[in-house]
Amino acid sequence: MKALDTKQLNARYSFEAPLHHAKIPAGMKIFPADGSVLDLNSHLVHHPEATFLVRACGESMIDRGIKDGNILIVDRALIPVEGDVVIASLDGELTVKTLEIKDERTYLVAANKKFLPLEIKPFMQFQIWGVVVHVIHSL
Amino acid sequence: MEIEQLYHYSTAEKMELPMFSMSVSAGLPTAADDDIETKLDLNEYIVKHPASTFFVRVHGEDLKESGVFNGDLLVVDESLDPKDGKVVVAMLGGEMTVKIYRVIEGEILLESQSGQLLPMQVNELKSAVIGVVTHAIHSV
Repeated sequence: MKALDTKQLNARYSFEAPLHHAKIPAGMKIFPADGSVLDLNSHLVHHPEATFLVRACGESMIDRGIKDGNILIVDRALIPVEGDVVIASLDGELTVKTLEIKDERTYLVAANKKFLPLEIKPFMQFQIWGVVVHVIHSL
Repeated sequence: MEIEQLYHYSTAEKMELPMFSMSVSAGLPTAADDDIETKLDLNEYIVKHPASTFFVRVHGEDLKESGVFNGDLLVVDESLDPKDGKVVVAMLGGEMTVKIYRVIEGEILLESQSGQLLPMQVNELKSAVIGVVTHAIHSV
């Protein structure tokens, strides 16, 4: 995977939500006249050119709050580190797991007791696509 | 579940993000258009009724089973009618709170944290329920 320079991307793509220009819808049942505003795009996506969405399937990450059918926001500009939830391809299959590195060994670990950790061996085709930064759960 | 902060909805620029399915075969998600399911703008996808949508940041562990976690950002739509089992934002005793809306044998109740049920009169409820939670967004 080609590592991207996070700082460079930050400089290129980060932008401030234009708070003072934001239109506040009239007629809200609740009020705070001085309430903050939030734009989901700028709040959830820090590197637009390097971000993609994936619909999760399966229950292997349930303990990290990822349920079957959730949409994951994945940032490719972040360098994956120990403990990150990542989207990886392993021998041709896409998976979402926690990245763990212990004694120079790399593991993909589920957040569900029913699944065993998987050690990445040199003969495996392994590639990290990006780091999961947010999970969107429809209620 | 308590509410820490309230935000109005606002949009700046449209931002279209590629969306993939987990079943796509190996390879980097570059501009390989074949693999792109669709393109989504998160504001458009998540917020169906901009004029009646707001967000709350919540605190508490009690709605985990409904998929709402401590620190989540909830998307709340005031224009939707609550239905049995839906997570709602309600004003109770002057405080805004998040509960599960229940209709049991024709009676309307708000279920709280511990599974405790608060029976409510219909007229009380009309003013108590502010909106229906459509999405919970958690940070990983």
